[in-house]
Amino acid sequence: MRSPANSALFSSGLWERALESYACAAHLTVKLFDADAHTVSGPIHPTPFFKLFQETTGYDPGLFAECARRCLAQTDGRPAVMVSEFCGLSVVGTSLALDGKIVGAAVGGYAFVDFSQLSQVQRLAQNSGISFERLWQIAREQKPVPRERLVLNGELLQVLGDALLRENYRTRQYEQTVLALQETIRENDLVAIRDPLLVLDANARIRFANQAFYKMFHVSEPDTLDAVLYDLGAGQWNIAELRRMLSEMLPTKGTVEDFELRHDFPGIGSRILKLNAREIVRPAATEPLILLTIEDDTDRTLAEAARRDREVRYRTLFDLSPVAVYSCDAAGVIVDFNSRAAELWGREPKPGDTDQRFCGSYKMHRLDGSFMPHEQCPMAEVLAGAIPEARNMGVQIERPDGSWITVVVNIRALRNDRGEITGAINCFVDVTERERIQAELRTLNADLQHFSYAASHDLQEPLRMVMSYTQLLARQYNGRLDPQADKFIGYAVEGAQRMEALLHDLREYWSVNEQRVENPVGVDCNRALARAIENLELSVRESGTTVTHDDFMPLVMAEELPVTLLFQNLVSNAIKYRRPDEAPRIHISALRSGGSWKIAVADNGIGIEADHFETIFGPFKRLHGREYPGTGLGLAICRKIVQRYQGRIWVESTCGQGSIFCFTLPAQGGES
Amino acid sequence: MNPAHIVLIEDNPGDVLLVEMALKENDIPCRITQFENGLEALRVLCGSATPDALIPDAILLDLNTPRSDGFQVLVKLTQSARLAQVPIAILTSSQARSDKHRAALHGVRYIQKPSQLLDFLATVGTAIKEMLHA
Repeated sequence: MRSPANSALFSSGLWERALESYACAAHLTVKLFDADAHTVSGPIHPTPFFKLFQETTGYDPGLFAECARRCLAQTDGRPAVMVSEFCGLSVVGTSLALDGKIVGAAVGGYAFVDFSQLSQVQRLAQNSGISFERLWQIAREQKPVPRERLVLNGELLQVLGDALLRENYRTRQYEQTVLALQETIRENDLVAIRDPLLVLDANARIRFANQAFYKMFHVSEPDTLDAVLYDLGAGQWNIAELRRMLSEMLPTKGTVEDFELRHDFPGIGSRILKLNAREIVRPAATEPLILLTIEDDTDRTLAEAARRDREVRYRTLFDLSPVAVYSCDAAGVIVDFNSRAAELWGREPKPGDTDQRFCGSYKMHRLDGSFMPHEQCPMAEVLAGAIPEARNMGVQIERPDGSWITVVVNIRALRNDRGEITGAINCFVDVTERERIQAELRTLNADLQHFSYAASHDLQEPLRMVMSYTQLLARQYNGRLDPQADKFIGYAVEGAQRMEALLHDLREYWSVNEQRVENPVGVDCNRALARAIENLELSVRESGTTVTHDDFMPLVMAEELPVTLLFQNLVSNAIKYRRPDEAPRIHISALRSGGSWKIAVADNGIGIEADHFETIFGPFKRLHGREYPGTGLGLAICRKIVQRYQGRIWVESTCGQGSIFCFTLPAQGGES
Repeated sequence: MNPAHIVLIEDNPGDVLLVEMALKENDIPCRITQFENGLEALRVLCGSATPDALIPDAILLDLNTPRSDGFQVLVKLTQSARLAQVPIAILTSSQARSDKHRAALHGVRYIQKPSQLLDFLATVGTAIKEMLHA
């Protein structure tokens, strides 16, 4: 422990006042000496002898100094009481010790111990140059002090001195600590620090706390200052790890950095704190101060943990994904790629390789087969900002082994806060197989279309011949050959007629398929229905059918001819599948449903079993035999027409009680 | 009344027979010159040396005759000065809208061969009558 300057130990008003009282009570003059036997205080409360010497000859028998020296000469550090005598005068002194070290002495005198020895007074008179009578008078005034009493006074002085010394020492220590603290606070600008901060003394007593500390831990300044940290806030800081850090780690190392403390603080909850502690040693200070900053790391730690967790998730997703993924930085340098990407490329580029940018493939080609330099690939375009992003763009990749695959790429740029492109991610999928199958399907479909067209058109011409001539035969030779010949000709005519009907419907079915929806307009259902009934006039009349419809028939977004055909087929079906005992009644109604119209064609016919609700819309699906002639294409054509305009068609029916064919077509004006 | 002279460019003998039957049924006295393909017809009808006697009163042209495109034949026929006054009709089984459209563009009649015998006889007969009396 550093020793304060000796003089400082005695320089206190407290000393003066206490010694004054003591000297008064003990009838002694007191002088204080520092460790070098220099007078630092006194004479306090001069006795009559003292005054006499001072006022007359200025005589000093040297008793105080001599006694002080003897006291200071104590080498074992234990304070001792000494009495010195000369010519009847006595002084009593005591050494003053602080922490086992003699730091000064206090001496009180002069006392007259014995009146019996007149010779002593005579010697004093001779030495001091003061008359015997005068000395004798003073001696008589001042009561004699027995030797034992003098020693007792010395002991009292010792106790008093010790107490004062210690008190003074503590006070000074405290003052220095405060001074050091103030300097520390000023020099480090601790007030401005945003994180909670404490300055502790060696005993963990809080000497300073900033506002942030009070705010975070919900404590007030009066409760905090001068409290021992471990007692603060109902002992919530009494944490074994914290104690160990402050009392063991810090004194050894001088600083402790980023000490993580996890603790559940009643009131503010579970916290993860990052502590930084440093011992501050100031030249003037008697003991070091501890500067302790407390950073609430809870959010950051949790966020970091969450970030790591997210990172792991994304990494797993990245590695596991059946979709090929890679990313580039702003310059197009590949940052990372997953295993599927390497698989599709047929190679593994070196991440960070500046020689191969934008794509990890060996070579790239456009869908038309033309060579595509990497600098022109979609990734390069996105990074250059030429296109905002790539969605399902087709690209061909040539692998090092010479094989080609077709992929579709999806690329989006990554941007920073300022909107600058910092890189991009590409997710791409191998569609080689899909493309191959689609191409096959296209060919197959085209073949089928061609075949159907040929079947329906090219067969028409020879069929017409068959029709015409079987009819001619029937006309010219009916009844002129034998009856069997008439029957045979009849079958031939009928068969040709059926085939003609079939080809007609087939042509219609395929024409619905072939034509693209060119220009959907508002088709007036009133008009289309009227036309359909007009076309069916003969069979309507012959069957005695009543056709009615809602007063209001809507406009639908479609084309007139297909819609007419749709009504025609449905009405004609309703007539065809009528009950033998009842004239057909058909009602057409329309109901708005969202962005569509639902149109229903209801009849009182024979109805349909629920089992067939779906199948009847398939081509060539027929539920009946010759009693209801038909090609099995009518409803298939209806479904095709409705599907052309994204509508639906279905049937609701109870067998024997009629059917309701419903279909939807988009309303004019769209969604509402 | 002189029998009308009708040129029929048609390779199908079945149709030739049906056309003849339609003329007979509709009491149209006429003689028919048949060409099996358009090139043949053009050579005979549009040659510089074609005698007046060969200029018909009406021409019926099937679009699908061998070795010639029906519409190319039609163009040549309509461009021929000698045939300028002769009504021409396309007689075909094609139902294609485009064919009907093209016929209309060339200002010629379009007769679609009906499948039903009676329809055929009536349609073709009526059309020829109209052409002859136009």
